[in-house]
Amino acid sequence: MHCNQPACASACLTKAMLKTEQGPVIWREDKCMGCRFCMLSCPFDVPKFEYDSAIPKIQKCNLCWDRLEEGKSPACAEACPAEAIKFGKRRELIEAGRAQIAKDPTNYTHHIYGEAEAGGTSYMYLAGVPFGQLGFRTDLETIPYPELSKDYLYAVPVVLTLWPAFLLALSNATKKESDQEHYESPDGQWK
Amino acid sequence: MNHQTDNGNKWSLLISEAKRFGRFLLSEMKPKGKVVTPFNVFAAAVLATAAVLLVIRFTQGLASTTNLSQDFPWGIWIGFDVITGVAFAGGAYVITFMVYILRLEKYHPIVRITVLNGFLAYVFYAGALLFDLGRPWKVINPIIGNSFGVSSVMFLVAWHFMLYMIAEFIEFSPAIAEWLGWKRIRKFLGGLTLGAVIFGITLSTLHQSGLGALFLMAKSKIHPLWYSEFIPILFFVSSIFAGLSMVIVEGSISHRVFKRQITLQHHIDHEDIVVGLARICAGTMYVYFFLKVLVFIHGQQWNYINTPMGWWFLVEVVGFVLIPVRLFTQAVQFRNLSLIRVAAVLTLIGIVVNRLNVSIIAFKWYAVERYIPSWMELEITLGVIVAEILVLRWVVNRMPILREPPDWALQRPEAIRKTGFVVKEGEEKQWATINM
Ligand code: SF4
Repeated sequence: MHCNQPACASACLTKAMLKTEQGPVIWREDKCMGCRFCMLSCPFDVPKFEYDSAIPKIQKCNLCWDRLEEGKSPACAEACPAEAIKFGKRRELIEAGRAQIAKDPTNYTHHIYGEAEAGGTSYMYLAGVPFGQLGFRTDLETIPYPELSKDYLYAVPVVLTLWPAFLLALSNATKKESDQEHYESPDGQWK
Repeated sequence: MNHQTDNGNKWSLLISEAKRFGRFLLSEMKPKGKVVTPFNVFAAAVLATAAVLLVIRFTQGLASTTNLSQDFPWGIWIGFDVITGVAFAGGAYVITFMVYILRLEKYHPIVRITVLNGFLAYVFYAGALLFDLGRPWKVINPIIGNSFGVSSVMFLVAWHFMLYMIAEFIEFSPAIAEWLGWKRIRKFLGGLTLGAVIFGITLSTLHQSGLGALFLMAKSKIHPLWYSEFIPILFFVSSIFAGLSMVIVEGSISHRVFKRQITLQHHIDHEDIVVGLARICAGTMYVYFFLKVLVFIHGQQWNYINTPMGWWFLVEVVGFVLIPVRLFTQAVQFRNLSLIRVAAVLTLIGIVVNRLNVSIIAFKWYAVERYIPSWMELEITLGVIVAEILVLRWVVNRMPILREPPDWALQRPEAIRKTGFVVKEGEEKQWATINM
């Protein structure tokens, strides 16, 4: 789906999954260690893994990234004779989609799938039936998925600096105490 | 000339020392005790099978041995070996916290065995991760710095695993030095302990919670009864009593198996230690239960309760949290060791259930084709456990883990003795006879 803020890319610990500036989310063979955390995180279940191979790869659409580099459009968009697949700037595509729905409101579901899902994607769909019937998940968050683990990641440096200082202080505090005599009664209480 | 013979002397001394050391190592390599025992035969069979399966796995791909699928990218090698195994290994950071930070000397006798257990658990269970990685030869990528995915929770967990193994190894290393008779090194390593402990507790806090944080982005895939933004906190708190319950269970087993190595003092303290641990378990479990209820109410999840998943949730929370915590409380009151063990075992089952729920059972609970591990996945998991036990036994039989360290290494005997323990009357007689 090439999300604006992809869960898979933020999940990837080797940056094998990468959101490029032009929009495509690409997978880089030389980096990936095959942990499949990208698959676990992706709300659309897009990345697929080659379980049958001893040298497995992650399979996903790369939006013809190499063709975009050369200034061409993706092969699917170029090949489609009915222009059912369009390629362009995201903002313009959303406009065009809305116009399409407005032009033919009885035949289109009034929703552009991917405009808001998971914080917005670069691959969007129009449909003639409700998206749920086509196997799309309609219960997804509209915030970017990386937001979900952001709070945790922000807390990490805090813990990493404060915790050792606290532990050290605590250990020093108990040190003094142990210089004095203390006994322990059988019920395990300090006196 | 003189100079030369001097050098020659040094050399021959060095060589003879090296030879002696080599012979010592060789003799230590040999098994102690009988080789053909039922357990050893069983272990050999399990390991041989696992080895064959691993060859198949690495030459044919993951599909040949596992039931993983596009819908279920993680199976029991992650859900049980890594996520549950690491929670079970939490005892090491809790006990080192109690002994080195709070200086509760009472627990000193179990520090080494717990740290050793924790260290081996990380080496083997986190090491089992390599079987699961699709492209394990790339495993150093996130470490050597050409591709840091710093926004990844997985990155954090991977680094913490590695650093924590080093910290635990340092905590444990004095025992190795004592075994080899390296006095000066022993002193140096002993001086590193406090630093390693502080570092280790910090890392543990972060990666125990980090294992939970791995699932934060799977919000739309995990059943709402198990998903909450507090998973990291729940994982952290539960790792405390999971680790301690493991220490209790493991302690009662090793007390039987390694009976002869355990010092008299430790035998006497044992009951007191177990009761103390059980008390802490009960305390943290109450906190955990309270948190679970809070999350449940906060998430307004009443409408899920009367569904199959809801019943299953109740089994976990009531059957394996509330009931064991009640048992712990009662057992502490009456100093009932066998009841404590029952509670600890129930707690451990509860942790397995909880971790598997988050990672496998409540994960994609809506999927038509569920993931059920293949016998080969289970076999390899068993192999990992057996291998760990063998190494543990090897180490305990050689290094001063349960045994008293050699005299020269006892730096603070008075600190240990100071915990004046009052022997109960019946016991006094019992031990007095042994003492003779
Ligand atoms: S499987 Fe590869 S691409 Fe996916 S998260 Fe792991 S390392 Fe990154």
